[in-house]
Amino acid sequence: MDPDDQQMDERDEGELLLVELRRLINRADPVPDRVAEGARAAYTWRTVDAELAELTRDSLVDEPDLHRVRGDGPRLLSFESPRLSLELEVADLGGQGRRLVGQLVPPRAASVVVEHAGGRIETEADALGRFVVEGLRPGPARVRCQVDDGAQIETEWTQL
Amino acid sequence: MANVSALVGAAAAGDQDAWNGLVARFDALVWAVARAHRLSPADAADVVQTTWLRLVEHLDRLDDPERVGAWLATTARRESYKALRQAGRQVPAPPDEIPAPVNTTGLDARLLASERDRALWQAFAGLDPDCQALLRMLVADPTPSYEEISEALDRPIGSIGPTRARCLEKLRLRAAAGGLSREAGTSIG
Repeated sequence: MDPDDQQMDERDEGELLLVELRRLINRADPVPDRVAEGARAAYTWRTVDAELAELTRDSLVDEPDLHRVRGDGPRLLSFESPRLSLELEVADLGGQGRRLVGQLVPPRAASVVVEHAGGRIETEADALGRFVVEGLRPGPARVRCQVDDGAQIETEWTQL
Repeated sequence: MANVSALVGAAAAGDQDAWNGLVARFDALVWAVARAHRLSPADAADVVQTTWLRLVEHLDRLDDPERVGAWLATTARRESYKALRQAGRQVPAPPDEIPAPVNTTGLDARLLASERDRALWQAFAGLDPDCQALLRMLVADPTPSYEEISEALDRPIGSIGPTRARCLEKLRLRAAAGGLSREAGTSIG
């Protein structure tokens, strides 16, 4: 066989295998129905005009040495918006889900809403801007704090 | 294919059907990114959900709505990385040093119906992690663009074509060694 022909044959065979692999993987590992359903339902979370606080620090990414081993310590997140910032400490309590300790900066009393994979939790930040929320299910979550004078901070969705 | 930036515009204006159109167009891409990062189905589901929630937030502020697929691929890659770090708190190594094969958890073994499927799957599972990740992206339906794959895997776009050829050649050699060849047709040679 001509070497060029053989090379082309081999390339064709690779392409045919890719076609077979596509059929195989799309049958064995399709997007699960509930995942696609969740993607469509994500749209109902749309809030127009919300000014999102930017995630400026995530110890999981920025300080990986803090998290070498499970249980090494809580994950630390910082969100910033023009008037308020929010520090979050996320602890993994195993079967009891995640515990969130929040600190508003500057410290202010506020009403706090946490939306997470398991639902919605409302609480209050005390006069020093502190709050604690427990029992969060792992997965996407966001936090909104509304201060009495109208200032608010709303985080982007973040996997906790 | 519907114009992607038109779908983004309509979804930003409040059209759930347009949003569903975006999901239909890109959900296989986003799922493939999470799975190419060797996440379990449960972790992959969280990554995918977070990625779509992020897009909901950003519909109004995408720099280039036509490239929303690349935006989704980038976001899913970053979220996959975080999920790996979370899971990896038991495995003290950065993700690029974890020599684990593609995560086959959740792959329904019963669906590897024929001998030929099993042989092909074995050939695939025996590839190095980079090739597995690239091929996992390439078989998503619809097939992602090279730009989307480049964002998904954080590889230069110019490397995708050559790597694709190299990985397909490796797959061919492994498949042949496993008794799969074109001549063998649907049976094992």
